[in-house]
Amino acid sequence: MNDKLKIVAFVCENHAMSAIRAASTAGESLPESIRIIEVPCTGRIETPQLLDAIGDGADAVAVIGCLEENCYHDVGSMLARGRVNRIKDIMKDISLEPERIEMINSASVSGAMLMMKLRQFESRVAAMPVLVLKEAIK
Amino acid sequence: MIRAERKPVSEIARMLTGKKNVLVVGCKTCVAIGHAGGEKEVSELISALKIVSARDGHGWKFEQTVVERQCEKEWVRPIEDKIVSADAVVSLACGLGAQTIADMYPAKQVYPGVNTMFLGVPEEQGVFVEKCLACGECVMFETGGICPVARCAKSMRNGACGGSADGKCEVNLDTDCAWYMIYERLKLQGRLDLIMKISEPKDWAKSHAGGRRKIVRKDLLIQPTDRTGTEVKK
Amino acid sequence: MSGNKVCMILSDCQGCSGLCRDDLDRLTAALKADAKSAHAVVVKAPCIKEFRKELRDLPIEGCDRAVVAMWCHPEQIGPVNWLPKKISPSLVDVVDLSVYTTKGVACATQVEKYLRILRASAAGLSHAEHIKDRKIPYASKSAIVIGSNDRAVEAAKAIAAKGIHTKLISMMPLPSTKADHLEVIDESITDGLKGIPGDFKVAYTRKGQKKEADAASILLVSERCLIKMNLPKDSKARLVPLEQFNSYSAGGSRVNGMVFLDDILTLTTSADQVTPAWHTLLEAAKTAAVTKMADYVSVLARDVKAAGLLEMLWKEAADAGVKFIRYDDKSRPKINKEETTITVKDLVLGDTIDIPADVIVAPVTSRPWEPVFIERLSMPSDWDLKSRLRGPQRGTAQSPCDGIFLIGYAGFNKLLDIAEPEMDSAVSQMLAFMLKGHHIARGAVAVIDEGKCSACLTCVRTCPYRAAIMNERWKAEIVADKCAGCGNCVAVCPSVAIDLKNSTRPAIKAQVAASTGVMQ
Repeated sequence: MNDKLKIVAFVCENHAMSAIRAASTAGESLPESIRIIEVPCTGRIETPQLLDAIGDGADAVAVIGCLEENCYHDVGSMLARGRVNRIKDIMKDISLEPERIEMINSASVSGAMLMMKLRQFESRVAAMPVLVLKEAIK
Repeated sequence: MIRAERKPVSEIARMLTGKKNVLVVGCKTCVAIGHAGGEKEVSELISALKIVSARDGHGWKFEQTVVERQCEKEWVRPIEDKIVSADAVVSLACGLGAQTIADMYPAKQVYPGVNTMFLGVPEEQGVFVEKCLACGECVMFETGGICPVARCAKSMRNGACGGSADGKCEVNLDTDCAWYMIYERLKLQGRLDLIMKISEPKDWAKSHAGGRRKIVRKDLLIQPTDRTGTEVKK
Repeated sequence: MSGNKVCMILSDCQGCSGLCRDDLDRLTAALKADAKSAHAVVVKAPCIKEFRKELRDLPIEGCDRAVVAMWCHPEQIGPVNWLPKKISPSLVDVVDLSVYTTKGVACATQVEKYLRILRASAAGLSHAEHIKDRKIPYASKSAIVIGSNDRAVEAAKAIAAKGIHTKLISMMPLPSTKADHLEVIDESITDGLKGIPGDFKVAYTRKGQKKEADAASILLVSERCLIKMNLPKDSKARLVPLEQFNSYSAGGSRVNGMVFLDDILTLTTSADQVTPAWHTLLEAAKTAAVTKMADYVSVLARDVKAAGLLEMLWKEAADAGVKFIRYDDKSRPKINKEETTITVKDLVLGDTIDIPADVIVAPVTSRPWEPVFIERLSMPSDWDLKSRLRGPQRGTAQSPCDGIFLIGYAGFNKLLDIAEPEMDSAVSQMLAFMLKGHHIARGAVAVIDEGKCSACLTCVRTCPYRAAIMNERWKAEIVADKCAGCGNCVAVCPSVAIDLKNSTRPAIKAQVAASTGVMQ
């Protein structure tokens, strides 16, 4: 299990989760490395949670939410994007690839497109050097 | 209130080279409300530093806490145990808070985790704008409640400079010309006569230009006595 | 508390899961051995009605929470009332494992994956809190449409056609508008709006008399839609709001003539005047000329502001080939129907000239909000319209709060040809809202620890539902009936004073740790 890619995906229970379900109904599979954590809104996610996911052994983190213009809870995915960008800046600052964290927006009907984006994300992460944490983070 | 911005994580990490037990202390007043050094930012910083430590093998052990107002000794004293057992203290409070801890525990390595920037108002959620320079001699009563010292790039005292265009400051088109605003405000209040008044130059000695400032309120001083009621001469 | 033990219920969805019974048993055995589980049982697939009864009567000792694993989405097989009776719905996690099923993967690998997923779900559930949902029926049975133009009338008729009592509040007289279930309140100025979703009150003045109308939901059709009415109906010119010029210029093709107007209401007889941000207009005109978006680029204005810093921009635009043409109120430009041109009297030449105008760029709003909304409409529960309308990307038929629907410029500046599909979208969303008849109040889903609250007002400003308010102790408090459990307040609180019952911090932490394989 340790040599397999681990991507933690925070998925909002609204449009993003609908998109994922729509994809699976259409016979499209979720990339193997994606592990879904469902949240009521991507706006629920706090910056330490994004960093802690990496600390817990994730190779990358995806935050999947509604399209910003149509967030089910109005401001959630917009705020989430702001936080993802903030973490990217911190990661760049501490010499971690900022591309390990990504904000992905999806309409509830765009299942296929979302799967494609996730596959592309997975291959980008697979191409990065493995993040080795010498000590376990408690 | 006092506005600060967290230093880059890498800069803080460099300060902690060679340390083992790190205490990160936030403050619940200005920096918390300004989203720079409250409990949330303490957690965020520690999460980032934990990754750095794990990747680079620093072996940092973190302790975190927040105090009500870091600039007052009474609020810092209760966390003394935590301070004493750390070999580095990162303060996310403004310069006042960080120095309070440093002055109380002079043998401790106390590091500033934020850059204290200015006195500012939240114009809207997430936007902080400087509006007061703490110049020590407030003249707003003559300018309709708009500070020409802080809000004018040149701190002009008697009207706009030649660079004012379309109500904007020539330094930055995002900034409104303070004297344009003052004019409009006084017009609204029917007090344009104040614009005609020529004011004397400011006494800059009252601002920081005159050195570190101090206010002593004699009526608030608690005089030490020897418990018999006789005042003790210091 | 029964130790937060989780009961794992696996449905035997052989047809849908692709797992043989052996695999299912292996999965069950692994879950049984977990410290967190109190039980792991296999039940018959809930898609078959008769089996659902069994599920409801499942004897579950020592558990007050459960994870139900199935291979389809619970909504597909009807309302989720077949869950174990003894466990509160908020403490049950129904996991649709079909989402995680990859075709062509070996069963053993799939089972490993399912195990990981179910363990993560159980870990999160151990920290979940009990929440009681309540149904609150709407207090009003009507819908209100506020607007004066064709679009507003069409929308009102569409909603009334579904048998919903619709009130159309219009500024203009609409004598010949009639339909079943439609109540036309014309020649009325809307004064204010307050209430909560399902129970709104709109105050209006009609012929000097102040009145009030109630509604469960409101559709706001912006008065700026009048702009379309003022462009001759069959004019071939395309109108692009100045505020959207950047996105237009990214994809626009080269045209013959592009005209930058100083004021969209140049085309109307209204006394209102919109002042453009001259900086933006000159930059856009310059860009159009330099990148050759049109053969002929012109700026049509009453008075070109070119003093100070703007002078440099004006010069650059002029050097790039932009033509500046002045007009006055007595001789306003006219858009011609047949050809894509604007006729204007050039004050310098004294002649009437025709300017090529395939694309007309004009400021729609110089400020990101309309005074008419701020001054006349006070949105429900002291909601701040200004901050809602400020962003350039507010959505299609966006609901600023549940039950209020906006189209046209009420939402944000957008290209006119989006307004029509938007209207359809808004109407159908509004119908869905009305036909639901009730909303779910989730109890105090977000909870604030007053002791930690620093009264920074961030949650109050952020909450999309205006559920966060300052109470009499000047501490933040969540109004239970309004909280939708989105958690935005939780994340923005700088004092970490708020937690969300349906998504607690420990729950998320446990789920992430379990899903990355970190043993707790």
